[in-house]
Amino acid sequence: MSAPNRSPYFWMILGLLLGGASFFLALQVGSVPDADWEIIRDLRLPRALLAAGVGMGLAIAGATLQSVFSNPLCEPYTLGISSGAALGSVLGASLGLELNFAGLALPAFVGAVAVTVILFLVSFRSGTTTLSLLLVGVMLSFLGSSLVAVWMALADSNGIQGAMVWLMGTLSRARIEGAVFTLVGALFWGLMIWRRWREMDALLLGEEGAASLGISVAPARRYLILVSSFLVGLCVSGGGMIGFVGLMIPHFLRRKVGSLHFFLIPACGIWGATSLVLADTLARTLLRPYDLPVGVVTALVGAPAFVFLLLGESRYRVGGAS
Amino acid sequence: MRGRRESLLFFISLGLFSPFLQANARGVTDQLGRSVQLVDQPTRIVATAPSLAELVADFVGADLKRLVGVTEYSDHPPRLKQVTSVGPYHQLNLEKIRSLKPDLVLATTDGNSKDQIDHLIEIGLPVVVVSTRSFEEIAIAMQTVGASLGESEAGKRMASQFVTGVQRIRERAKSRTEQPRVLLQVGEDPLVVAGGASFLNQTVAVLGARNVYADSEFPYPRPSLEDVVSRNPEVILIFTLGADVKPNLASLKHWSEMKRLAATQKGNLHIIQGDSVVRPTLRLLEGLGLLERAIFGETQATKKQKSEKAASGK
Repeated sequence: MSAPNRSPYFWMILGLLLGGASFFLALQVGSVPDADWEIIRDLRLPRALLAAGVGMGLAIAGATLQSVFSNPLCEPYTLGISSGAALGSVLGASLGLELNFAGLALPAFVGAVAVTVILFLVSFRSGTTTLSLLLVGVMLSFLGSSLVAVWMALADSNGIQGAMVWLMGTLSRARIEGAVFTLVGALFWGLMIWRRWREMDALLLGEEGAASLGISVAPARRYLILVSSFLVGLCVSGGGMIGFVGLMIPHFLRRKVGSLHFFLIPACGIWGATSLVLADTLARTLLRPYDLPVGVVTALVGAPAFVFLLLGESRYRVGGAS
Repeated sequence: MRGRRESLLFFISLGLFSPFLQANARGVTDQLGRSVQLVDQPTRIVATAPSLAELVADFVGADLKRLVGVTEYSDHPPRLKQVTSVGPYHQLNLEKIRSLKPDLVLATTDGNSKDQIDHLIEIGLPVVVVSTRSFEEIAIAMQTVGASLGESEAGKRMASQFVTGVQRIRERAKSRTEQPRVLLQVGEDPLVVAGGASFLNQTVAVLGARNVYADSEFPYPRPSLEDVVSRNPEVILIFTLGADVKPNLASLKHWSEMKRLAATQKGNLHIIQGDSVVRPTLRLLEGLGLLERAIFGETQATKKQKSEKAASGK
C-alpha cells in the first residue's frame, strides 16, 4: 500500500471542486444545445441530483462492504444485493404493483433488503467466515439474475425492454422529489456508516486483531452490512443496477487518502457523487438522441481504469495491514 | 382567426402548456380515460411511435410540417425520415421532446414505457395516450388521434374504413371450412413465437386460421423445437421487420429441412414483411391481406415466384 503523499483534505477539496464543476456541466449540456430554464429545472436538475445521491451511496456502500468482508471485490453487485433489488423490481412490475414514489421503485428496495436479511441469517450461524458469507452473496447474485432471466423469458417485449434498461442502470426516471429524497437518504445513511469509522478501521486488522482492540466484530459487521443494504436499496431503486462506482471509487481513494475510514468514507461520498454525475452526463450526450444506460458508461470507463489501477500495483489489499 | 393565431403564437413562445388559460382549448378524452386540453389545431406534434407518426401523416397529408418530432424507424411514408428524431420509442429522449415545445404529444401504451408517459405528463406536456391491443381499440385509437389533431371527421372516416375492412375479412373467413394450424415465428435463435396474448394471435383468428400457440397465455413464448414438431403446424409464417430478409432465409432453410412438418410437406413456409402487420394503422388491412394470401390463397405461380426470389436473395 503506497502511503498517501498528499493530505486527505486535499483530495476531498479537489473532489468537491470537481463535483461542483461536473454538476454545473450536467446542467449545461444535454440533448439540446440551447435548453431553456424549464428543461434544466424539470429534466437535468433531477437527474444530476439523483446521480449525485446514487453515486455517493454506491461508493460509500462499496467501501464499507470491502472493509467488512476484507475483500477488495466486494460491492453491491458482487454481494447479490443489487440483483436482489433487480429481482424485486421486475417482480413488482410483473405483478402490476405501482409502488413507485417519484421515480423510485419501492420493490427494488425491498429486494435489496431481502437479500441482506438472508446474508444476515447466514452470518448468525456459528463458524461462518467472511469468505463463506461472501460466497453466499455471490450465489445469491447468480440466483437473483437467473430469476430475473426467467421472468424476462415470460414477459412481453415491452416488459423486457423496460427491464433491460433497468438492469443496465439508468437515471432517466429521475424526478425532483425522488432525487432529493435519494440524496438526503444517501447523506443520512452515509453519516450512519461514517460514525462507526473506528470499528471499520479495526475490522481491517482481521477478526482477531479487531477483537484484541476491544471491538466486538459480529455486531459491528452486522450493523455495517444492514446500513449498507439500506443505502444500496435506495440507490438501486433510483437508478437500477449501476456497477463499478462501488468498486472503482473506493479503490482509487484508498491509494490517495489511505485506509482510515475517517477520511475514506467522506471522500468516497464526494468522489462517488462526482463520478456518477460525470458518467451520467456522458450517458446523456455521447450518442444523442440516444440516452445510454449510465451503467454501460460506468462499466466502459470503470473496467479498463480498474485494470490499469491494479497493474500499477502488483500486490493489492484492502487494508494497510492484515 | 387572427386572435387564434396570436394566442397560438403566445402559447408557443410561452413554451409551458397551461391548458386552463388557453382561450381556444378543447378537451379530448384519450384511451386511458384522461381528458386532455388541446389547442384547436395542434401544429407542433410529437409522435412517440412509428405507427403514431404514420397515423398523423395520414391525417395531415401534405401539411407534414405540423409533425415536429418522431421516433427512430418512423419510415412510412418515407418523408417521415426527415423529421427530427426523439430517440427510440421504448426509450424516448424527454429533453428533446420538451425542447420541441409540442402542443400535442401522441403516446401509446403499446411500446412506450409507462414511466416515460407519466413523466411527460408530469412536466406539463399535453399527452394523448392511445392503446392498440385489439381491433376494437385500434378503431378507437384512430378516432382519438383524429380528434386530437382537430380532424374528428377524418378520424371517424378512417375508423369506419378500418372496421369495414376487418368486417369484410371476417366474412371471407366465415365462408371457409378449413382452419389451418399456423405457427407465427417472430424471432429465431432462440425461437420466439406469437402466443395467445399477442396481437398477431388476433390477426390470424380474424382470418379464420388457428395459431398453434393460441393456448399459451404469454404474448411471446419460446417453445422448444420438439414442441413445435408435436403441434405440427400446416403453415409457418416467419415475420421480419424492415426490408432485409437475409437473416430469415436461414430460418426458411431450417424449416424446409424438417420434412415431417405438415407445413414443409405442403410448401407453406413464408417470410412476411411484418411492418404492415404490427403497426396499428390503415396499412394493417394490407397486412391482413398479406397474411390471408400466405395462409390460404397463394396460387402456385406466385409461390414459385417467391421461392425463386428467396433463392436469388441468398
